[in-house]
Amino acid sequence: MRISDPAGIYTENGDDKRIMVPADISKGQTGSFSVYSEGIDNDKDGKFNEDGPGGVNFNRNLTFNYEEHGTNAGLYPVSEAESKAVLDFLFDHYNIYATFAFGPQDNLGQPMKSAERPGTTQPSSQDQSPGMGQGFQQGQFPPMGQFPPQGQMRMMNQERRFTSILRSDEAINKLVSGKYHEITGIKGAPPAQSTRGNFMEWAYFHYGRYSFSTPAWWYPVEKEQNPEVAFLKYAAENKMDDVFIPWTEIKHPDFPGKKVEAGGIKPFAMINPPPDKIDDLISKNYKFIVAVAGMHPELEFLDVKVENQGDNIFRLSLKVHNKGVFATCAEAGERNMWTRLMRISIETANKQQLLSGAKVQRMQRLEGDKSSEFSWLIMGKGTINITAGAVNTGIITTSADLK
Amino acid sequence: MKKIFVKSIFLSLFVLLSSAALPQDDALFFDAAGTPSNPKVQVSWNKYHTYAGITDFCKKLEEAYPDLVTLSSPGKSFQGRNIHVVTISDKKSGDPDRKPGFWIDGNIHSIELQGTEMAMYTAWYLCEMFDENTFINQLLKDKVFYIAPTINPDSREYFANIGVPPRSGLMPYDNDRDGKFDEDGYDDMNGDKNISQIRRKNPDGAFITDIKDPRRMIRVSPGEKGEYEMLGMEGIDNDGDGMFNEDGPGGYDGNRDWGFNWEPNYVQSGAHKYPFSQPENQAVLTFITKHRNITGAQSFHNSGGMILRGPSIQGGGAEAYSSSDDAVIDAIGKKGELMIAGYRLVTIWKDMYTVYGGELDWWHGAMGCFVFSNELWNSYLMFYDTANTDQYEFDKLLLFEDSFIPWQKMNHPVYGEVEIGGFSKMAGRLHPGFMLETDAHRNAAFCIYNSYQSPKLEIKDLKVTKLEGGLKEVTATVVNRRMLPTHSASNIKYKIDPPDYAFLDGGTVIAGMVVENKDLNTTTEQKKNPQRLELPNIYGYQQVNLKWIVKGGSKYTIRVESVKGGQATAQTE
Repeated sequence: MRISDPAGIYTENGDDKRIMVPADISKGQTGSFSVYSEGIDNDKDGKFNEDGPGGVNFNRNLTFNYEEHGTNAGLYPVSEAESKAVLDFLFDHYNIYATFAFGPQDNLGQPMKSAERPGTTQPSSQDQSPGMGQGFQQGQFPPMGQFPPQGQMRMMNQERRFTSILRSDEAINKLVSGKYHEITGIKGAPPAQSTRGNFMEWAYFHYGRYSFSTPAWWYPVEKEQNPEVAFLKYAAENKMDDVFIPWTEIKHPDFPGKKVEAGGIKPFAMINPPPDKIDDLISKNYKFIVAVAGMHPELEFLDVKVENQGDNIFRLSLKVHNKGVFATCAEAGERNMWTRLMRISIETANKQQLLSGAKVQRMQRLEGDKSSEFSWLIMGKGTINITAGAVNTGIITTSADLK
Repeated sequence: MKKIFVKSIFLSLFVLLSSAALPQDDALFFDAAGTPSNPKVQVSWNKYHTYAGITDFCKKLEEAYPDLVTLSSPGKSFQGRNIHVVTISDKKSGDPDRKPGFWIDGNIHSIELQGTEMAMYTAWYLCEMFDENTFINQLLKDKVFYIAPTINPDSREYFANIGVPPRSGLMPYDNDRDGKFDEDGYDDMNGDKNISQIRRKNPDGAFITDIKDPRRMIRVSPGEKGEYEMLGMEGIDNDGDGMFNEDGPGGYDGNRDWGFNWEPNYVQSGAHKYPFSQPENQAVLTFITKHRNITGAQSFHNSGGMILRGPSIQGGGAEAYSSSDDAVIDAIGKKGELMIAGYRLVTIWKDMYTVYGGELDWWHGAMGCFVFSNELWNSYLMFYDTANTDQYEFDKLLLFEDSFIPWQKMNHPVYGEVEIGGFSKMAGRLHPGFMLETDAHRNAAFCIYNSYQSPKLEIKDLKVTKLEGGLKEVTATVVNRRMLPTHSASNIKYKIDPPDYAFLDGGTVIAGMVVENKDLNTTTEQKKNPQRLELPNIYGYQQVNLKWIVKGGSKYTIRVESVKGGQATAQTE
């Protein structure tokens, strides 16, 4: 609703008089309207509609870049039953390697970009410290207030934080964004929506998975163009005739003696596709999602080889190859406790003895089309069973006869 | 301190209550200063309590002091134990939940046991002294304490009955990310409910025994001949993955689970899925969000003899600090250094290390409270000496070797013949029995001091002046008699609580205003709803002057209501 008011800071937009914009004093404009959402000051505190039903937005309630005490952010991150339900499901499913969301955030029209991040390089092999499940040694005496030099420990945590996409994940995002345009034929990108605590960024930064999101539908906005003006132009061109309510004078108890009008673009008209476009959007996005699913990480054994070294000793060697496009784990998830680590283990037959090489080994993360080599020295004939992978990459098995 | 009741009245009152404990015989004792003369609930403060012991204590306290104590449980632990909260206040002097409240929790880290005893001692002391001591009596009229002796009961039970628990609770957790949960923890190989160190004879090892005390292993200098190698903690490779003890029970951290400045586990080791993932903390949250009257808190940890204050990250993230808040926190903390011998005031991020998602930051940033965390026990307390902190000598001279498990031979499935031994789980971080009560009292006194400094509002100088046309001017001053403001900087910045309200009842209020300067008569008028003036904050030891213009009425009541500051009223003659 708008109130005619010489003290107001809003004015009509020059390109489309239906749209209210803040007056730009640098262009010599002065405001002549106050603009509020429709409603009365029910609790007489001088503010309009500041405490309606509900009030926590799922897409602001998640942990990454959460805005403490922010509008519609909730009392604390993941405070709502709905947020918990979705996150618990995801955390319980270690086999998920990527998430896809239809929502306000976009990294398909325009992929995320890696920014320079000082101090975020990590030794990739460094795992959570073994034995962390037990805390620390008993009887270990903490000296009175003695800690590593100031700054040293303080920095420990901060160095592991990253807030822009990591390089190898950036390459995948770019590839997938390209596929999005190629398969759907949708051009351009929606205006960037940065919302703190959103799902798309949470799934990447805190869940450690490849994360993709698109609003699926948007209208073109030219540079410096007012988005509402652009929308109304698009609506007119596409014969969407039910998107604007003309400004209509109403009586308002909080503004006696003043001209009050209600009107404007219909709620949510700008963010939801018109019904006649939905079928087409579904089929295009469906094709895209299926194509992306085909890029999943997939392990295979290559070059499984047994060399008889003589004296009943055999060398077993092999490669584990990721024949998928995606890495076995997003780089962002490499150090995350909620992703699994791949392992390769061998099972020897009776009387065989492992001379060299571990029975169980952790495997490094593998980029798409990359391999890791392993070898063991074994004494004794018989069949060796080999298992490799993790639940998010699939677990593969093979065997080798030592003879 | 003066006794309020003479002892004979006290005793006869007691007999009517049919309590569990028997009164002691007066012929056998006379009073020491500052100690309850005849406690209704008998507790040995030189022992640690099991969960059953804590429950029993809470129930006995409630039975013995029904007019002071309410026992409640806002939730359960992962294994289904009630999280006990003991509410203590003089119920006859007003609704406890509308008085300024002080929260105490203990044992959030499972092995940091003695916070429980400190919390229990505080509860016990307040109740047992209520009838005996003027200060405590008035304190419980003005304030309320909410005391949760343990907020990690599952792991406490593990400590008492099984071995050395993780720092966390006991939700299964996949520490080594192999898809199996808690499959390779420490193993108590000799069944002594301790997890000891392993040493093995090895002439190439880096350790020898100390000539002065052969129990002690010392590292040899380069070039010197060794005698032993150290092989870590008692345990075997249960899951055959080539690693020892890498995935025991639990393994996250209860104090990285709070919904403020939270970061995930790869940034902040110990963080779980998201804030309040852990049922024990969820229970605490449930209680606290329903008790906005809490002004301050103490979360007991061990060890190191530190009175920790926030922020826990540089700059405090979204927390707001003001210079006046800082001054209050430091003033209280410095008093703590005086009260608790050997402890010093420490700012977490600056003097210790960075903590994301810690309880303290949540209290301060999300709830707007003044909060400390005491790291109980330190090496100074052994000989009251910062220079001599030899734990072996302390064990020998004061504990007669009771806290050390002698090295004993054992056959290890991987290491072969080894010896296991070392300090027991009761040593190092935990008070020995004989020192528990002393430090409990000092820490309890610090909590009491914290609570005492929460706001105490009064209305003074209520005055009615006749104006022309039958109107009257009513003026009054609201004064805060204590150190804490009604609103911390975070509270004001984020509007965590409503402002304080000053009401005028009686007559029709024409105008209402806060008088900024009495002498110059500068005022700020509140145009809407002047009968209920909004006061953003009432600072410690400060006052706010109020003025109303009123039509009609003859008798006027001024009421001040503050979520964290309590209430005050005054009436004209």
